[in-house]
Amino acid sequence: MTDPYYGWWLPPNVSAFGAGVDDLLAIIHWFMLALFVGWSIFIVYCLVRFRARSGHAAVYEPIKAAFSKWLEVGVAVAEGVVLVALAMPAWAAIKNITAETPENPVIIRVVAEQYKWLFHYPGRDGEFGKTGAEFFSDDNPAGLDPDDDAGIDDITVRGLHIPVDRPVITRLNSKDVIHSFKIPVMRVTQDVIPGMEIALWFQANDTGKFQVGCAQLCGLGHYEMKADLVIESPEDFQGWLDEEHGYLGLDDE
Amino acid sequence: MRYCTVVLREGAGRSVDKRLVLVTACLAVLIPAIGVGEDAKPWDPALGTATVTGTVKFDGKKPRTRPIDMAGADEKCAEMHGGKRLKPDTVIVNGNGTLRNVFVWVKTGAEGWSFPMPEGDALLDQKGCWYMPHVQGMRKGQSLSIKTSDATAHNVHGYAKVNRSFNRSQPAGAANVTIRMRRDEASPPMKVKCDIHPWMNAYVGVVDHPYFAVTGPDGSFELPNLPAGTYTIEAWHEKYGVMEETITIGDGETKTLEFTYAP
Repeated sequence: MTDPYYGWWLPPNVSAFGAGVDDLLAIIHWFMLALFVGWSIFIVYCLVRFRARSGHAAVYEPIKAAFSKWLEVGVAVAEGVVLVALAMPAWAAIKNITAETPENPVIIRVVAEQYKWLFHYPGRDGEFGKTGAEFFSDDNPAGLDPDDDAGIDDITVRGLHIPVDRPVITRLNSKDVIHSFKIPVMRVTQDVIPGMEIALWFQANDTGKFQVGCAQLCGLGHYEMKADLVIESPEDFQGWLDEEHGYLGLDDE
Repeated sequence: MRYCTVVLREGAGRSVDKRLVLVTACLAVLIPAIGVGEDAKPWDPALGTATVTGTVKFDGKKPRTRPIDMAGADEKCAEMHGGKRLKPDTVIVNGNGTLRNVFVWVKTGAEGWSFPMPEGDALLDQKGCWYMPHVQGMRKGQSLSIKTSDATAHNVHGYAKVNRSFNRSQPAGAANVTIRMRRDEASPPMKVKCDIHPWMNAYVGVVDHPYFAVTGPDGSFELPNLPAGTYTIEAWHEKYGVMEETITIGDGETKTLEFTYAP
């Protein structure tokens, strides 16, 4: 990435598909501007053209001219087409990022709770331990089944570390209320619904330290519901995983 | 008195007139009760010659706990631990096979006295996004003073079930949050949480007399200065629940109790 700041006061874009999202935003905004200016001109024209003045009585009959009727129908149809033409690509893009399809991904389970994020990595065995709502407790914030050995080496942290240039699949879970997983620099926002696991993927194309936020008012401490996003080279990411593995103290046992 | 509390709570759904009648009736019962007090005799220290001591053993599989990563959520707190990761205080099995942070108190047998109040408040410190102490006891009528030693904001949320619950935000450098605990609340003790740092939690048992203790690094407890009598001693652990023992002691005696949690 050559230009760290996208401009227009938007946060930097470090997402592989962020440019598309930004383009869509730009198209929609330019289009809204065109509509706004066009309609504003028309309204001002009407205000001047049909202002109250002596010798011109108001007409209270509906307009019967065929041209203006078809013009109105035409405008409605055109707006309908534009709506669908904009909404469908956006919807397709969303379907694309919520489908679990990329190759060689890093899979991270995310647990949202009032008012912090928890990130759960499968650890060295590459396998997540069994989890369930019944296992949540003060000393088990990830809800890991204590009897499942696959969970022994799982890593649970409060900051999101991901490698650059590799797809990341997040599996979003909520412990309590509806939250919204938002990474502005990654151009992703996805509601997190209790009782559902929602997959979302993205890919970073630059390293750096950014922020994960909650985009859904979730209670008193909503403003504090944030976490670091650290995008690292594959070597640094592996180094971080090894360091976290060391904190588990499994080698001492 | 308890009946009136229930009446007042359940009365919420009734018509205003009926509630007024209930409130008046309850006040008529309560006001004399408050005036007279609970016919407690002033405590005579010369009577307190017996002691109950003991240990809380742990006989089972120690649950697996994970070190807590604060850095991703609050760097200021993580820095205060110098890169060291803390483990939850929930289940700490001491080297000698005993269980730490068990709240042991005299549940019945010590009523009827009015004991002198300790000077000062019970203190709960927040240091490095960690409550200290994790479990403590305090006296009914005493104040709980919650201090912040951190350069980050906290939110002290007391999940009291008997006392009035509270939820106060406490920015860095703010004055202590002081809460007066007006009622007994020891079974279970009140839980205190930080809404901003979900790994922070502490428990405060509120007792009407000075006979309570929390097991420490050796898993032992001591309840000194008891008058001779028969007592129900309760041990409470946040994960493993309560255990009860009944013990009778005479003047000048020291008896030993042993609780064993075997999850």
